[in-house]
Amino acid sequence: MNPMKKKILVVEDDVHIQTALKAFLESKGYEVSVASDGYAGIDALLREEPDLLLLDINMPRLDGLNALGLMRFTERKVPPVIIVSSLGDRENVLKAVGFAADDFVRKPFDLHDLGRRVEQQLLTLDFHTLHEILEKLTIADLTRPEKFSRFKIPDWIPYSSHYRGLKVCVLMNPEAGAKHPLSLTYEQCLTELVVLADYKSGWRSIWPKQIPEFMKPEKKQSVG
Amino acid sequence: MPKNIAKRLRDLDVEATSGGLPPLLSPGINFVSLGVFLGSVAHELQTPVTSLRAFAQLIEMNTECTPKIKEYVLEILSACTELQRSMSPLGSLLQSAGMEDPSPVALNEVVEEIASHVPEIKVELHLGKQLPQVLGNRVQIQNVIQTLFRLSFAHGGVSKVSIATGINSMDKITLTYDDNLSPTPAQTSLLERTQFVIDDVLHYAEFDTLILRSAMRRIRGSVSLTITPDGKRRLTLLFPKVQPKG
Repeated sequence: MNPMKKKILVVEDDVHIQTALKAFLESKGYEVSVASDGYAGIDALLREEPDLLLLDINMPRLDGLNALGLMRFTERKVPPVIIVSSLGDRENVLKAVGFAADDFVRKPFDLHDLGRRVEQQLLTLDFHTLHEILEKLTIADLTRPEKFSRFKIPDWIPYSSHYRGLKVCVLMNPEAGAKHPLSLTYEQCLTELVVLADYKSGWRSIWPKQIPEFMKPEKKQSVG
Repeated sequence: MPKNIAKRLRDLDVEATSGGLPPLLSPGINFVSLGVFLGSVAHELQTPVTSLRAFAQLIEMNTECTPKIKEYVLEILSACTELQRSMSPLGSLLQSAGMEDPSPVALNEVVEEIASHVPEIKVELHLGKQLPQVLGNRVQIQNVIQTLFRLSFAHGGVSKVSIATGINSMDKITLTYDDNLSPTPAQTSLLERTQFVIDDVLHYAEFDTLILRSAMRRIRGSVSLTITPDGKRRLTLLFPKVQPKG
């Protein structure tokens, strides 16, 4: 087992689709495990600790959306989730958004498109790829801060950019003293710069891997 | 024949052979049945088309694929696209008619199964003995039960809940859900719109309430929220019962 390999859990009841997805994803260098229904998916999530979940909706015993709902109660942090289903009607897409799925792919899918979406969800940036983003920066206007409501957005300078088909927002601490984020050193980039990417489920931090404590939201809000 | 299609066919057959039933049904209902049937056929075909398309693409991606094989694979992919295009309007017939497939469901069994998969919450069960089956859809009922947990988890990170099933004085099947939350009436109204965060992901309680109500409505049940005398929140769900034959 290669510890560097990203692990993907495919929860899909059709054995042919399972086989095709496994073959395709393994050819892309991922480590793949499969489960055939929602309950088996929850057990596999706890056992395998995957980096990404591909989840069908219509499955025996427990469907994918209910399984996703239950996964949120487990101690394990749920990784990004791509729903892969032929039930692509408005209601199911809305439900998927409600269960905080990160993307929705309709069956029959195109493997190249699926591969691109998987890559987007597993996006990790190193200093080199961060520079690819920083080279395309334009000043952004955060006119709808509520879109970022999963973060406490500091009063930093906002820039916008794009990367691998994703809209990206770069926030820079004005106290860093640099004129442009490109002039920051690696160490400065870790503390003075945050990069958020626009996923379907909302904005997510892609740099640094752990967002600063002061940007984290309250864990739970009680009405009591 | 795939199980779901066979079931729809049988449903149509029962309607067609049950004597005076068809004239009693409005033409609209017959069209809905036909739409559900065609939609089911389209839905069942999506799975083999997905496999076919995926395997054709895997062959295409294979480095040993010769130009001739590639040409044939492109023909398969083109046929898949055409089939997909033809099925798309049929699939929407099913979606517009809804996916309900009312059938008897053992409520206690669903509750026990779901409760065993929420390790962060201690669930106390008081399940009614010899409870008649409820008429509904297993997925919708699973949805209802896990949404109840989500609602509680959202509002204060509840660690202990109690679920009781039984039959009330009106001969309805009931599920009573109590958690340890004590909202005031003003806070109760907040249940409809508060946001909450699990795993750094923003959820909307409003959405859960919506799912709960919508899911109960779809199985012809109902849900009510009351405050118990000791100030705790209680959700009571009424499920339709399977009518005994004869």
